[in-house]
Amino acid sequence: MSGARGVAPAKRGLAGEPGDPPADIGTLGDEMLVALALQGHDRATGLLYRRHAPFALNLAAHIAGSTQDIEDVVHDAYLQALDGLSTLRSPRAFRTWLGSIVVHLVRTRLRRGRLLRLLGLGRTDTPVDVQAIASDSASPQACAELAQIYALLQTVSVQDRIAWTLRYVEGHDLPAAAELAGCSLATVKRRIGRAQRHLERHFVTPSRGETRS
Amino acid sequence: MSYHAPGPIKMPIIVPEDLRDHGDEARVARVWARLEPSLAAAGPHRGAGRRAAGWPVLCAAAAALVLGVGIGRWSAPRAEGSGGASLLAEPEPGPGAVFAAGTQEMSYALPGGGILTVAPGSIVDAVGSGGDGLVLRLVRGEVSLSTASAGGERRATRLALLVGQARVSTAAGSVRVRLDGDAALFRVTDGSAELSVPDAELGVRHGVLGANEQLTVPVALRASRLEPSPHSPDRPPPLAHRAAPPVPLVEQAGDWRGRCQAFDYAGAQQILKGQPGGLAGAAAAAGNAGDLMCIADAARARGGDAAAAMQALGRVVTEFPDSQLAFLAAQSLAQMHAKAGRADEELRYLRRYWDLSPTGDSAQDALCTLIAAEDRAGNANEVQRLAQQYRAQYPDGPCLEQIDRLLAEIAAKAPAPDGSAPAGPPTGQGDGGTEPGPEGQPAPPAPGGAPAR
Repeated sequence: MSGARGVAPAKRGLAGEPGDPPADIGTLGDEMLVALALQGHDRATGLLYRRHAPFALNLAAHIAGSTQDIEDVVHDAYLQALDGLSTLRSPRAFRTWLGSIVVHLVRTRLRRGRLLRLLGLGRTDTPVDVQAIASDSASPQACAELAQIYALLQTVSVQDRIAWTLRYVEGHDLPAAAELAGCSLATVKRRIGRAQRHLERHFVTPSRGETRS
Repeated sequence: MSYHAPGPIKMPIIVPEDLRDHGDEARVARVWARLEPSLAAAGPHRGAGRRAAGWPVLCAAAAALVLGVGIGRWSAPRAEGSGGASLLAEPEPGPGAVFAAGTQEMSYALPGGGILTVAPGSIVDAVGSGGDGLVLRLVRGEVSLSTASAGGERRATRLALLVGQARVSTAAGSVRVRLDGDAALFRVTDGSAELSVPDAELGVRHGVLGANEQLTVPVALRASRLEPSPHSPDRPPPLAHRAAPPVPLVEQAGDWRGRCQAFDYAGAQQILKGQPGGLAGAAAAAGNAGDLMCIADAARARGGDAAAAMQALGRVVTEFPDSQLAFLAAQSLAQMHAKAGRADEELRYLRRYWDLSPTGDSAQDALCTLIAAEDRAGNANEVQRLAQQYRAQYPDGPCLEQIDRLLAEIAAKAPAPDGSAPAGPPTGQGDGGTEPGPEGQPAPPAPGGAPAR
């Protein structure tokens, strides 16, 4: 399953063939990697980072609607996650746990931004960074719709925005969205529902110019 | 994007392809470049108990991964008999070599001679090499360590294995070690082995186990993780302590618990049978998970009482779910019910087995086994749901092939909606709007469902 430097799997030729590639520690599941990381195994810690960093970056970007602070968020989230690794009750759920930390950090930043704007210390009108959200292959219509959705999401509460984004942008099912958002299933449903109704009331089809409700 | 055609809700569907991927390798590497100094600055006593000296290795590892290059370049194993020097004894070996087994037992030929056999779900890593030879550490599970190579040659230097705060080493012999919670079983199958175990009074006790002798000792694994001590795995107790006279470690069991610890379940059974209430009475009266497991093992021995065993195991699962033995009890119950042909009960306890083994030896295997059992029970929807979960949790899991086969079989059996042909395999993405919508309204489909445009 996993090999090591200078160690030959005995199953394939007792001493291993000189040219044999080592089995990869990357084939281990998160549970095993967490167990290794807890024992101070550096490669396992690095692999935990490598394996889930793209997920964490995308999660932060999708919720925040921009790439402005996502590297800070993921940096801080990993610091927190690795710092509290020994408290992780279910190592196989490392990814969800990391995700919940990311969500928490983004939520804090979004709230702080709103507070600053309320106090007149921040920009009152934050434009939606469509280029940061939409892929290069997205059609102009898709870009316009994404921009409108994200603009509308700025007008709902942070909690509702996060719940809706987790469900309909990130694509998590309801239990996963609840876990990531750090709330109950009923609460996440309520938040998604509120955001959904708001979007339905205000969303305008770019091509037709009519309200879709 | 496309629109939900039917129904009152006509929000666009956001498809993943329309979203920019922010997890590109350059960004991942950039964050790591910032993260690494932060971790190093935090020191070695962070939650994960990492070694500060290892961070350059970790940094290099991440950088290598980012570049798509394997960490730790493959060094050809030295030809046996080339002086017997362990590769890990070289000046810059770096700890971190890992020996692990997924669903199958793996055997590794060790540099310098000897074989390490790793049981399924087990992990061993190399701590390094001192004057006493190669030092490994059992992270979890069960391993067998032998100084003899498959060709019959014996290594020139010792092999040592750290298990929590205990240490076993042998110059000529074979020893099997199983880590179970905070206790470890050491069994010498050939030759002899020296054992050092933590002791409340003496600090460390030393002894020698001969061939066919075994011993179960507490190894204080948790304490060593959270509160590094002079005898922590990172700093093993020196064997030079042997100036103190060896204390006999193998003690004759005076009661049924002792018999269990010595794996003499038949003996434990005889003692328990002689007690008022017998095995069933003991199963009903025991007050902790360890005793219940012992009673269950005794009751499962030849001539025992299967009902009492199931009673004891059932109590572990229901009354001591937080015990590290609970998942083993659930697994045993599943096996017993399977053997008796009770598929429903087997399934029930396999679910518990998976549920209870977040840090157990084989949560992955539990999920894999559960999926197979659900398939045998004809629960296609559950197989698909669990398969999706497996794929998400173990993207490189060893069961993926088997799961794909099961899903293909299910897809082949399932009739298409129009009844014309079997449906295709599930995509494993999203949940296709099968859930009730928020606030009782129909929900838009999840991303990744229907094609957008």
